[in-house]
Amino acid sequence: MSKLASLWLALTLAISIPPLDPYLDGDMTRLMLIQVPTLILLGVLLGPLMGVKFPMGQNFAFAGLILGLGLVMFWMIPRSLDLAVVDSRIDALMHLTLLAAGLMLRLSLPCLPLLIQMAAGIYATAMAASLGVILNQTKERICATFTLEQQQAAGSAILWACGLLLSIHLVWSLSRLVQTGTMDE
Amino acid sequence: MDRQLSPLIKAALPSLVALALVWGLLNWWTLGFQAFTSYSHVRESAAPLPQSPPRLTLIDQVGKPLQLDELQGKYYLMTFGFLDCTGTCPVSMAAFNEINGHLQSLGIDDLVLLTITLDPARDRQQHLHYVWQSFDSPAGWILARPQVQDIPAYWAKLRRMGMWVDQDKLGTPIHDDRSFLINRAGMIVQSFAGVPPIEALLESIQRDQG
Repeated sequence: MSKLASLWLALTLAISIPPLDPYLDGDMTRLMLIQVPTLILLGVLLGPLMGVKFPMGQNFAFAGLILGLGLVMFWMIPRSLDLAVVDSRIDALMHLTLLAAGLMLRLSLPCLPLLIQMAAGIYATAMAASLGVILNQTKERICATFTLEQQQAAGSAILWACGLLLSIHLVWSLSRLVQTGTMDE
Repeated sequence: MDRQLSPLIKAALPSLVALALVWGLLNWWTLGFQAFTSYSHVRESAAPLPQSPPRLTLIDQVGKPLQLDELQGKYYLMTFGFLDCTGTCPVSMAAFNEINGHLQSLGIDDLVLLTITLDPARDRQQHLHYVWQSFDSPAGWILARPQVQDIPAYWAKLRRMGMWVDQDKLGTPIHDDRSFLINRAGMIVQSFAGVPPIEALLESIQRDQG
């Protein structure tokens, strides 16, 4: 096993078992802004680590994108988050599916035209920002396992993170556009 | 025509299958996009009102037994909580105390307030009695604990009624903040988010009386 693969495994295990997992689960901001994105990112890194070369047609790549975003969307549903926090088996399922979502995004996105990549990035950020607004502005608890204060703080943090993410995404997209000169690649 | 359509279907099929999978999963999980929270999922899954309260034997703060599914002849406003709760329970208790004051000043004695603990293993009768006394022993307010050994089965009964309750990883109950109006026939006729204001409560009773 290469050093990078060992590091990946160590990180994935560290984020999935005590003491780090319950610590991250214990606060909505930590769960949604550290654990969930880290798991997706670890899934993204899994592709190159496994040496997976899966040049897929655009039709399959688009399906992978839908499945990847759909899985992430599933764990943004408050009921799903509640279950992941109270039930260790559901929590393990969340970890696995978020890793799978990251892997799917890694395999599918490079096979799609830049225009679709840009649109997917903007759409995903908008989806997360909408969730941030809902969490921040709702005066009732949406997630049963977190307090209203944690919920509103998480909403606010998600909005800030989305602003940052969108800026990075736009800079990256525009630089790619300048490099390639087309949106079709 | 068929030759033109075939590549189009071939190209779109994986995405359509993926979309159907995601849509189907989210639709099933949220009961047709109606229930995104744990609370609403339990409420949407519960039997429609009016419904009978769950079959539970309760012991009140002075040790008197009462059968939840046999409460008749009076209106009952029922809510759930536990004494160590630092979330919504203290707010509900304060709201019940306020309603109790209103009922006394209005001379209404056929509406009984009923608080049932979600943690019968810890909240013993003497603890409930102590809390009841701290509210000046109100005659129209019962604090009760169910006679149950199997807590998950007790909570499952409440979930079937539309009251979400579970436990966190430390075993502490976590629950929805709801109250239920039981009419003179012993049926649950209304479910409220939190404890309703006295006006809304009296309006519901009037509506039930037709």
